[in-house]
Amino acid sequence: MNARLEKFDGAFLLLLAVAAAFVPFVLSGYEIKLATTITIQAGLAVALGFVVGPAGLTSVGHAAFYGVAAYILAMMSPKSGPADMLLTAAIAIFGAAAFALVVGAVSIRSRGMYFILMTIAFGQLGYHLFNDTGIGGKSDGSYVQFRPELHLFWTDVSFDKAPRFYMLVYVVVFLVVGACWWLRRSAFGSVLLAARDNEARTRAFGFSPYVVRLIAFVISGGMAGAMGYLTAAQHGFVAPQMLAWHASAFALVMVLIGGKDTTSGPAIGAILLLLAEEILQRWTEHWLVGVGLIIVVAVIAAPRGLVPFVAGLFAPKQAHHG
Amino acid sequence: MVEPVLRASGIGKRFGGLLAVDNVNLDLHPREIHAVIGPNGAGKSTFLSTIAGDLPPTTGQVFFQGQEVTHLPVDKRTRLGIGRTYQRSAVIAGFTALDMVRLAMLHRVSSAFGMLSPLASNDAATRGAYEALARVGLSERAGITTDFMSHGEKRRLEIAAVLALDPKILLLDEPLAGLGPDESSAVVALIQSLKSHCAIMLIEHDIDAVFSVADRITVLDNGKAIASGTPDAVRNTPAVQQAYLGFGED
Repeated sequence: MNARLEKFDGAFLLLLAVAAAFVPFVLSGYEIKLATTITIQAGLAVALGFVVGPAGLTSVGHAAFYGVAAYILAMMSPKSGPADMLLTAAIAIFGAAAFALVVGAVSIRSRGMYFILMTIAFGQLGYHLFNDTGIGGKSDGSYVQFRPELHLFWTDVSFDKAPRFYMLVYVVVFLVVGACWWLRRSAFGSVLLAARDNEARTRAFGFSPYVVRLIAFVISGGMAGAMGYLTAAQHGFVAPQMLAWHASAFALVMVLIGGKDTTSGPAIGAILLLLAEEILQRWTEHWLVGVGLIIVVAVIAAPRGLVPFVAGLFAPKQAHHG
Repeated sequence: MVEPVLRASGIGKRFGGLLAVDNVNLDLHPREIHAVIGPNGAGKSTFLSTIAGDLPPTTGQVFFQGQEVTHLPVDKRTRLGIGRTYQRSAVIAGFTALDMVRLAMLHRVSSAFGMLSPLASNDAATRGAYEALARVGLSERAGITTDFMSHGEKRRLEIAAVLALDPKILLLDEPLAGLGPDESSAVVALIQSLKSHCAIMLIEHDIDAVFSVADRITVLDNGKAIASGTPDAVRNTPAVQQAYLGFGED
């Protein structure tokens, strides 16, 4: 990433973090819930962007990691009271990361189209596991009767109120996005970029592209799991569709519209698409056509994504060096 | 005689019906430049790739410092001390020269934990990278993105990166290809000076350069080693003269 794009990326992230911090103070009721959903999806898109961008892995199976973690919370939630948040979240995230490890270990050996197919296949496997077998209530899905509680040493923190749940989501997504931003700039991120550009040279520098990509994939899968957990906690309901490849593809569209080579891009892609969806839905029942048109226009106007597009508007006119 | 640092024995490589390398033996001794020459398509690069690990040999074994490495992946061989350059200059797009060489330093100077900090904040990698760039005369181009470098600069950058690996043996695949006369003689001098640090296996088309720097030469033709020995001995081998007369030098 060039220096200018890096600056814009950082500025956008800061802007988003500040704007999102105001949500519980300026919005209310339904709007907070919508902001919660959008923030979670932005976190998912950023986590996915980390593997699509630097790692060069176009995953169309990330919804499976997201969904598996959601189901883990549903299955661990007692019928009589709230689950322990730290425990269930740890197991859900670990479960998603473990699933990502299996999927990645098998799929990352394949490249390009074949990698995409592998991730779709694994995602659908997860979907059918919950849709067709007795685990997790088949196609009807399953309920999380009580939103999990955070047990601290001296007190139990409940997140039943929407503003407080939003704040929890804000903190978790802030950490996930911050980690992705940091990792992209780290030496680890540089190795991923090098492997994406020149696999042979990277290997001859002493790094196994397979191993570094797999590590990135597992981290990203665990992050996607954290987002799935939050979604299950928010809605109190999980369904097999959460794992389906449509959900993975929609997250990928967010990444590409915003810009896979930035951290802020996928978040901005998520916000724009979900807001557009929300607004169009009120206006017409054919809102999906509208969303499709927005995607087409965005991809034609800004093929590398909106954030690189905006950064490019501020580029000096002459050919730049470095 | 001292133990060879590298020993390739009975290396063969078959691509379908084509036997690209046929039962080639080669020893590389410490502080030695061993050149491999031969007409186009003789199997030189393929042979080098089996030693570097990019291609698994169909037959034969590769020993590095007495340890068998025949089936070890490239990244593990690099960590043992086998460095290589590629025939087509293999720089990393989007990286500055400095960052690319820092990357090459990483596996030596960075812990797993150090991988979490940016390349630029790794002082050991930065220091080593500047030293390596200075050795190939690219100090002033450190901040330039590789995409904007000339062909000659890219070649020298790749050599700097491989030096940063601090290899025990260096496999150079046509390091002079496409260089102008000035750059070429600078690289030849550099290769000569590296001899004291590591053993070098050199594949090169520039016959004058080869005969001036090599301690030993192996000649490949149609995948077979048709001669091997000191430059003088090889020069006077009839089979070599015939192979070169038959196919030309380039």
